[in-house]
Amino acid sequence: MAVEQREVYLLPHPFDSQVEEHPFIVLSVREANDYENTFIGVTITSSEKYQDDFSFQLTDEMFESPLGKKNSHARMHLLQLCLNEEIKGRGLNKMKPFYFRQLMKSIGDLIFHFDFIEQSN
Amino acid sequence: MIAELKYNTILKHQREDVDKNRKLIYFFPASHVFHLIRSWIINRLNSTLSNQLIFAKGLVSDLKDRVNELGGKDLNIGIDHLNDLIKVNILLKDSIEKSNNQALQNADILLSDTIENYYTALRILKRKNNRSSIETSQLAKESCRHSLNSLQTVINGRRTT
Repeated sequence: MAVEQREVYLLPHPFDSQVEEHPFIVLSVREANDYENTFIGVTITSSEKYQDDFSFQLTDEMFESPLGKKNSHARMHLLQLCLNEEIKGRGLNKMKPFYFRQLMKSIGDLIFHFDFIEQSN
Repeated sequence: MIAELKYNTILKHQREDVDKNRKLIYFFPASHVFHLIRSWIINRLNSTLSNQLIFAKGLVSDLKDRVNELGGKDLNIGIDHLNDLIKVNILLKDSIEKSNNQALQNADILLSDTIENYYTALRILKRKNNRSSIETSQLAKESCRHSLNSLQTVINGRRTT
């Protein structure tokens, strides 16, 4: 399964299969994802209790189709190595490039104190 | 400084102003709207957005100058106002994109630049905000477990090709 940067997928709960899956935004590029069928994702949640300076607010307009959950935000410091084979179903959505750039800038600045500069293809 | 509410009132008014302009966009694509009204809407929109862009750039410049004064202060009010302002600008940008009207192209460019500047201001405030550490959350534990599960699968010699 080809996993592309900016796509949104569901992954199962790591401890308990009865618990609702969490959506993730894929941060890594296709070349890296294809190499070993793994990808780097950032967690999305809509839980109010996790709203803080490491939250990047997400709205429906930032995606190709509505996210469907209000108060969604990416937890910028919770970056995970994920396996392609664990993805539940098909891709849910895709983030628009302009807003993905803002997310990556925020992760670079606030999590790594680094300026991630976008490379053109 | 933003922590002392000097900017917070302006941010609140900016938000209201942008929201009013967003409502105008809904009337824009209607074919029966007269040319003069269309021009008035475009001029009003571009004028509001140009002023907002100047403000956003000024805000970023001022925050950079005063970055040392911000450290350790409670900047949550400013952060909340900026988040609201970004949201309403994104809504306006979305309305313009959906209208698919070439006459609104300048407004879209102005908005993109403004949103970028507000995100820059937001990052400056977040970096300097006084936050206290909390216990490891359930979500953080789940995230670590995801990575651990993935690593174990890779370590155990799973071949992908």
